[in-house]
Amino acid sequence: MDIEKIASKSSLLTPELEEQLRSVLGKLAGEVHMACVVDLSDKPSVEMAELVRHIAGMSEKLTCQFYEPQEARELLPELDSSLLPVTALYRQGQYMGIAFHGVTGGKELNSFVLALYNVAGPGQEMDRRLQKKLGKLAKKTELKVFVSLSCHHCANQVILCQQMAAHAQAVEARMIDARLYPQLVEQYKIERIPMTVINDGEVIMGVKTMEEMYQFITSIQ
Amino acid sequence: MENMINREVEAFEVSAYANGEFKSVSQEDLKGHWSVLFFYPADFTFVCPTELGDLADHYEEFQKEGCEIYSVSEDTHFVHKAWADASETIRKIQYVMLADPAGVLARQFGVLVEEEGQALRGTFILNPEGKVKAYEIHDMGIGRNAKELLRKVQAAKFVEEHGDQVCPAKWQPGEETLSPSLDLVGML
Repeated sequence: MDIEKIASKSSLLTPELEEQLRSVLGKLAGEVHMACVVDLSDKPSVEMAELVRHIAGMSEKLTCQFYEPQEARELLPELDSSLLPVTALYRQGQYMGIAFHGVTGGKELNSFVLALYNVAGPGQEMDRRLQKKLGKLAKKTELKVFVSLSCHHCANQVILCQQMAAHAQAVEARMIDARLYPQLVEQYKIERIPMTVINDGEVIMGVKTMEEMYQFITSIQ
Repeated sequence: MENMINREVEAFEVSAYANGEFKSVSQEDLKGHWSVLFFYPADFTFVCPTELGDLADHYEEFQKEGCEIYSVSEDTHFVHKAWADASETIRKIQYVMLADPAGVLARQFGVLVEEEGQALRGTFILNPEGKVKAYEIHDMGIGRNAKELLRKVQAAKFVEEHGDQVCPAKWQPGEETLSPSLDLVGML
């Protein structure tokens, strides 16, 4: 997709927010690529595309590319392009198992920025023993974390799950703004958030610790 | 008035009427399951039967939640029976109707209007340990809604089972994207 179709500045980022963000992005050690699948006839897609382009323009460690859904189905088969917009993080060409379905507004800007920080390094501190155990997980585990942008607990669960994904190749953690996908609200009977669905079966409500999440994941493997 | 949240129900023993029979109900009967204490001013009044009937219509749903309902007024158990005999709405009630003529329960829960000898419309949701987890008190003429009460029982159970780190999911169609905010203190 021609990037020039997308505005380089997002109205969601105020000058004050941009300044805060710049100081965080200044800490990124490595490079992160953001792949963003959008349908530009849809408002949330436009908002997310502009936000991604704006943030990418704030650090030389960040790059971005935009895809139409049909392109993405062919070029990025690892992503679920049925829930748009979707933004996924890559390091050295490898999908890091971290994706955001929706616009990372509200509290979810925190999870988005921390995901960049965790993929780029140095990343948030983590218990080394747990880090090792996560790296050894073999069976693929998909975590869908349903959120609302106004929920003050949700971002914490997204951050935790995506931090796990950054350290475990077998784990994929996807933030999903349930407001945008009423069919999923119906399918998963979502009445409270954050709600984490593991491998489309088990459900975890609320915010857990990383150790609790690890124990839960291993118990169902 | 003192805050009632997390206060444990104190010892009591009262007579009760349930499904044509008289029985005795004590503090211990309220434990081991969720309970609703549903105070109302008096038998044989107008708003009361509509509220109690509404509760009776939703009683099965409360039972599915493992929640027992106890209506309470300052009448005797004999008056409850007389009311059930006289009113079709009251006759269909399956839950227990507590008799509190001495005002023991109404006083304990702060809903007794001493000079009138009647209870305000107080609703108290108790957990299986007998602790108050939610309550509301209405003036005499303001009725309550059984469906809303059921929602509160479900929410109280949910929070007890999952902790309080959850938010109710309320989405409005066409809602605007919320402006972002950044708060990463202590997270980097």
